[in-house]
Amino acid sequence: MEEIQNLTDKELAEQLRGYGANPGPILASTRSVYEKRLLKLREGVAAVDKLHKPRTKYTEVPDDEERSPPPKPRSPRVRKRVVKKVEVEPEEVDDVDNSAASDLTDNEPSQTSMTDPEPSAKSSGGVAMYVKVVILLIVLFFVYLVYINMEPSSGNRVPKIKGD
Amino acid sequence: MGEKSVTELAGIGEVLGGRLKDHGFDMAYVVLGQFLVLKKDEEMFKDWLKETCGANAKQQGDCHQCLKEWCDNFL
Repeated sequence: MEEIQNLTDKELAEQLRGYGANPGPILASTRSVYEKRLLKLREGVAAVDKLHKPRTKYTEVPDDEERSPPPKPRSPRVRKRVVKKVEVEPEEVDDVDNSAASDLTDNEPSQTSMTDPEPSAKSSGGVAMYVKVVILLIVLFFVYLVYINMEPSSGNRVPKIKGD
Repeated sequence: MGEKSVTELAGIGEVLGGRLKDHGFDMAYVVLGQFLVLKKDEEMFKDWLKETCGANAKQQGDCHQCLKEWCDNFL
């Protein structure tokens, strides 16, 4: 570093050019940065590339292939969690789906019967799809009720519930 | 750019502006001059900025981008 500081402006510029750099005028205000540049060039090779090549930073993006496998093994686990919540019993997590399904049929209250026709839903993409469809139907039903009541001419057409 | 103070540059606030002024860079065009003398090299300019007034990476980037765009439009 001291040696670099003892260089004349001209010599410093020449040395920089020797490394392939293209320095501007070595002035009082620019000298210091150019000295540092020369130091970097002497120490490392990468610095030269930075000067001339466009800066692009590549961050690794996982392939789509890497993402697809995980969802499949996850779905049975999601199911198991649903089972766990309802049953409140510690289930063996390592069980294959068939045993979990059989547990469902044995112990379940009516709510989990919804998860029963699982094997077919699982093949098409898991529990979530089926549940989503059911929820959608419920929501559509309520929207329908609202729509009916919005019409000015008709009276209240909400179906009466006995014992309401 | 005209007679704008150095603090009007992107990334340069009161503190950094004060330090630049201490080094004699009191107007925006003087910093522009430095940028041009460094041949509009991004890394060199950022290094210089960091050395002269202690700008962090974001401030360096903002100031460089500001001057680069000005040059692209008007130089």
